[in-house]
Amino acid sequence: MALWVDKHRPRELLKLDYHKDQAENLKNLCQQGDFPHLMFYGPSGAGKKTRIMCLLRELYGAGVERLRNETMTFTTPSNRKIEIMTVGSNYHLEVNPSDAGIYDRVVVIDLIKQVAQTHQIDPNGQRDFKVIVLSEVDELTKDAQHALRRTMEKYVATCRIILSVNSTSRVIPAIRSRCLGIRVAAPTPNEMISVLQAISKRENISLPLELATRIIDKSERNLRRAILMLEACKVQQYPFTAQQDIVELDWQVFLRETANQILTEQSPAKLEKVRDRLYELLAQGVPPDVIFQGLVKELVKNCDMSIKAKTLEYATLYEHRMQNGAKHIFHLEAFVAQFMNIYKKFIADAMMMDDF
Amino acid sequence: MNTRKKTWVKSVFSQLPPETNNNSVASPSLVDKQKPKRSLRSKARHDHTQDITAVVNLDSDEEDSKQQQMESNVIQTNACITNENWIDLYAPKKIEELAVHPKKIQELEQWLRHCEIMKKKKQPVQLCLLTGPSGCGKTAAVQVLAKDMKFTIQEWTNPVDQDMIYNLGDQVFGESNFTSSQVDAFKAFLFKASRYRSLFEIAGNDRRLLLVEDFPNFLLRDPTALEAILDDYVIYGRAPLIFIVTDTKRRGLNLSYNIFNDQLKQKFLINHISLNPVAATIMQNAMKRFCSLMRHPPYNELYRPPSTDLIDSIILSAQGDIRNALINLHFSSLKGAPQLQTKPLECSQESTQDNSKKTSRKRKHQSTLKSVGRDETVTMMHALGRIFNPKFTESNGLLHAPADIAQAFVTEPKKFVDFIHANYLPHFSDIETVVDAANGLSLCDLILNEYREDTLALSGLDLGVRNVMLANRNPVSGWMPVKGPKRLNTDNASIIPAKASTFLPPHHNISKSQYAIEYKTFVNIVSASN
Repeated sequence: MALWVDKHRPRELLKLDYHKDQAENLKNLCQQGDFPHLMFYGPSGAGKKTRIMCLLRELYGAGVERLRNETMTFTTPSNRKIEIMTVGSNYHLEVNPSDAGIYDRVVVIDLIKQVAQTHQIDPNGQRDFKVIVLSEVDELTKDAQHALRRTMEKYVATCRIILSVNSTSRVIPAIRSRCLGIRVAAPTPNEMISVLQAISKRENISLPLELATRIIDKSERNLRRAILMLEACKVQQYPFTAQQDIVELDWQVFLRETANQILTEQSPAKLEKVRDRLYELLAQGVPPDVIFQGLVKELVKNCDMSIKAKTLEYATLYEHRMQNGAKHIFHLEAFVAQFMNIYKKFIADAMMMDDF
Repeated sequence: MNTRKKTWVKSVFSQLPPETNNNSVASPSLVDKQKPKRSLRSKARHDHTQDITAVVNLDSDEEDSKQQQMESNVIQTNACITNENWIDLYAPKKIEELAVHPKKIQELEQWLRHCEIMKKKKQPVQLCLLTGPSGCGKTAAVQVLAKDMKFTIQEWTNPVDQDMIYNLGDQVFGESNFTSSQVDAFKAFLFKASRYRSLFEIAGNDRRLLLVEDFPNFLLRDPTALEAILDDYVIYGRAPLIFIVTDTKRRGLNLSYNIFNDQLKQKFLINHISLNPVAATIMQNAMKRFCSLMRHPPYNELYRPPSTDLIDSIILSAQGDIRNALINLHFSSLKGAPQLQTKPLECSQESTQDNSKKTSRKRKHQSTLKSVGRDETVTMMHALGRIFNPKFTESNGLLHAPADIAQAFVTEPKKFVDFIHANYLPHFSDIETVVDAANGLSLCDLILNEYREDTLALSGLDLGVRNVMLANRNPVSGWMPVKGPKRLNTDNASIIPAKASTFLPPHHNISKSQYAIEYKTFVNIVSASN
């Protein structure tokens, strides 16, 4: 019943489909006695988590795949209890500390302390350290990142930390300099085609090349998304035809419609409707920065060259404010208002020109 | 020594009863006599300068003593008046004198008559809740009506000192001390006062009325405690019970909301009479009555009623609070008191435009008291209205200063900004103007999020309010209901549903946002097919 993404995920470093040189390097890294903190960075769906799991398997053997879920509770200084889901084996622990929201600092400190204060006592244990995998570290608050820096130093004897990050720009330099950075670039379209074809072969379905290219176009070089799309397409229509509809992410469709609405009418009433739609997206759990990015892309795609620069200027201004502010909708709305104003002026000017 | 001191210290409380006044300024001659004595020591030191100062002081001393003589005369004649609590003098004695709307008086009167009838029918006692803003005449109305209908009022006052029993019989001091419970004291009051006659009462009259205005503290801590007490009272009590509660803006302090919820009112059939702030016309009549009392002897010795303009501004600044108005009137009309400062009220530009159109409606020039007078509190809805429909003065300034509005909500800036954000759009007519307002709100949110500096909250709020007010160049008028800010509960929305988790690996660590962006759509499709 598992999804194809998980079913066909490579489990060993040497079985990875692309970045084979890098896999070789990682394997060599494990042979060495010393092992540094690592930071995997790269776009979403490039295979960071897959590589981390392969690396852990290389370090500790198959025992790493005996996973268990554990709910850990932390108490904040204000006596609030936070529960965090962790996945771990005997050798490692995987957490997403940004789930704790503004209390992520407590999670980072307490969790690493708990894990790091116990030594490995397995006599034939291959390694004398445990590994903590922290995902989405770039979503952590600055506070938590500084706390992480401190604990990384303190417990280096008993544990290593592997970070998984989308963008290094949002990780403080102090952490970056303490880790060995490993870039996982998004796969090239050709690599993705070979992956998709390998999967269809194993699933015993025939995948036309044209459809595969179309899926890859839609997936924005996100391999996870491509495989999920492939499976969804198979569910919707099989045998495949080259021109069949490809399932799109519904929030992307919704965002595109929102952008079109902004372009059709520029008025306070419309702005209020757009606000409601943005609220809906936020309520669905789509992160505000993803909404912002998607919205800007859709708007810029459809507008004249002359107002693109201005649009992007405002987008950067309000995105920056949104990162530092508390109410995301305020900044999203302010950006939409600015764009509406620019666009309306542009249209009015264009009408004037037409009249002459 | 003692007497000597008293002679040269002039009592500030010149209105105290004559016994004490006698000592201080009884005879000016005495003061004169004792003056040289007082300066004996200084004379020794400044022997040569003494003569010169004495000459200089000579005529001023004379004047002083004259004035003192005059004052002491006034005080002596008024000793009988000032001896009493001056506010009692103006208390309404008859129903006509009450500064309460006649409809409300009628309502209260009917309730009292209803109580009588019910009592004759041996029905359970009646309860009543009287609410209204401070100084609207709640207590006065009850007292006057009760007197008129020959009810004896018994009022509960919170005991300031709890009876501490230190010694019980043969027990050692300090071992068995206990305090009597306030709950018991309150219950005992309700039970006894409604059943037994007071020693001072005239025999034969058993019309009693219980009044609770001073709420026992335990009710504030535990509002549900009242229900149990009332359960008993309805069975055992004999006299109608009135609760008087002053309205407050804060929900946390609002007794009528916290204690007297709808269920309680339903259960005990509590008659709720709510009074409004005193209307301007009623207040004017009351002020007329006060002034006429002032003009009558012997009070005319003490008071000089102020001009009608000043009275108008007193009424205006009291905002429906008759107690406040009376206090201001008293102090502004005392002889020898300084004239109260007034400041003119700025008229809005709109009203002057109206005047030019319809000349028939003449607007009176109004002014409020400058420093005294009631503190104006603005409710949230009021402030929102001022922000969304900005009014300008003749000098092109804002009628309601944004800084004042911001100041009023500085304790909960985020909530206020949320409300502004939720409601500002319909009031704008053009996207061009919205831009500045939205930009201001975005900046405001940014500043409010900076927690390290306390004063930033005010600046941020001020900035937001200013931007919204000034950006709105041609506001849309009309009735627009106020909407509450939207609450985003992303925690619930983005939890991975149980059905979907069957498709994901048993031990995964997919974050909520990742699931929402990447997996949700596809998982829904795949799960629908199975």
